Amino acid sequence: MRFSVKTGAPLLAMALALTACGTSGGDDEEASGSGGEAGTCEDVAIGYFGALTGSAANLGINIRNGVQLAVDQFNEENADCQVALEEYDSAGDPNQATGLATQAIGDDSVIGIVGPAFSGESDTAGPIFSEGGLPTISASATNPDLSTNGWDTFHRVLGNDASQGPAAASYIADVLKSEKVFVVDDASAYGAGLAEIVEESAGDAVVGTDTIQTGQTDFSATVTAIRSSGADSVFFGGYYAEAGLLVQQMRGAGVEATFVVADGVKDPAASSRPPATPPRAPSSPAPASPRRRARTSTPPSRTLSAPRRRPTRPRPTTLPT
Amino acid sequence: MLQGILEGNTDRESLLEWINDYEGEGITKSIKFDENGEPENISVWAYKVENGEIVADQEIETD
Repeated sequence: MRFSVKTGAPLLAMALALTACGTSGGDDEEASGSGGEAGTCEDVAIGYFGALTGSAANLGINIRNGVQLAVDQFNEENADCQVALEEYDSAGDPNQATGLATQAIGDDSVIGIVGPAFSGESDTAGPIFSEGGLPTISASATNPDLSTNGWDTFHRVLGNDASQGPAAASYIADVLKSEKVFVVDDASAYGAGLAEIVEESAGDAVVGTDTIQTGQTDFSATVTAIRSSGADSVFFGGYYAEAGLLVQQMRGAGVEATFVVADGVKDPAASSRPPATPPRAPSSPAPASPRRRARTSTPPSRTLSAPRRRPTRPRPTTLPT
Repeated sequence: MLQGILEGNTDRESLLEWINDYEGEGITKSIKFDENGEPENISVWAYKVENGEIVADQEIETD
């Protein structure tokens, strides 16, 4: 996968372990099916479900933009089968996800969902989608338990944390040659679950653990604990907003342990300077889900509108997936 | 999902069935779901931040 990212950020010894995402393709096979199904696509929509606002919004915005691109290209190629895109902005909040899932179930035109993006919201929305028979495919929710609830509608296209966690641990041991690992998690369904697996996989190499909260901005206690442990690597299970602040505060305190994270942190915002204002907590209210017809293309600037980057800093030219 | 819709699966039940039977090439790997909705093919890659840029490092073996 090729991408180019320029954040102008100082060098961080930060490594990221994550699963390369896949997509349901079939792009070149569509031609054979077009033309023969005229009229059957009337009032049909797919939904994007996940954060478009909140502290980890960039992860969701990238996915939404990918869905938007696919729908736009599809509609351009299939004049007689126009598919709409509905957006369900959960702000990444499990509590908001239930109402939004119910809303999606109530819209008969919505027959498939890309998402939910995060594990916590997948956990609360999953039973509702299953009950309503609405198929979902997540590009990013990695909590292993999500696929074991008997939800017929659940799918994801990336390896769960039972594959990512051990991979991160083996990277720490075999590539970084680290024998002292400090494990931090953000208490979320995603971060805590992943950190627990890394901790188990790393075994005796774990010299300490700590838990922070999403929305937290002062990590001095955690940094002190890391320093005291003598760790030469730190694994953080969580999202990019807290990760960026944590690693910056580690470096500011002279702690040079290698910082290892997973795909919840794979956003340029993690390695750029923190925002002037603290990140918003995921519980910030979500705006009403906008109903947009998919034929309206998204302005390219939306991909680059990372909301919390300083305007004077260079923008990423392409966001990795 | 779009391909499934194009093939005439324009309600939830038939689209779900279509997804469950799906097998195809994505951008980075082939996609097929097992009975729990997990992908059959899994790959984990490491990236590192160098001079502020996220660059691919290496694939990590998974069991």
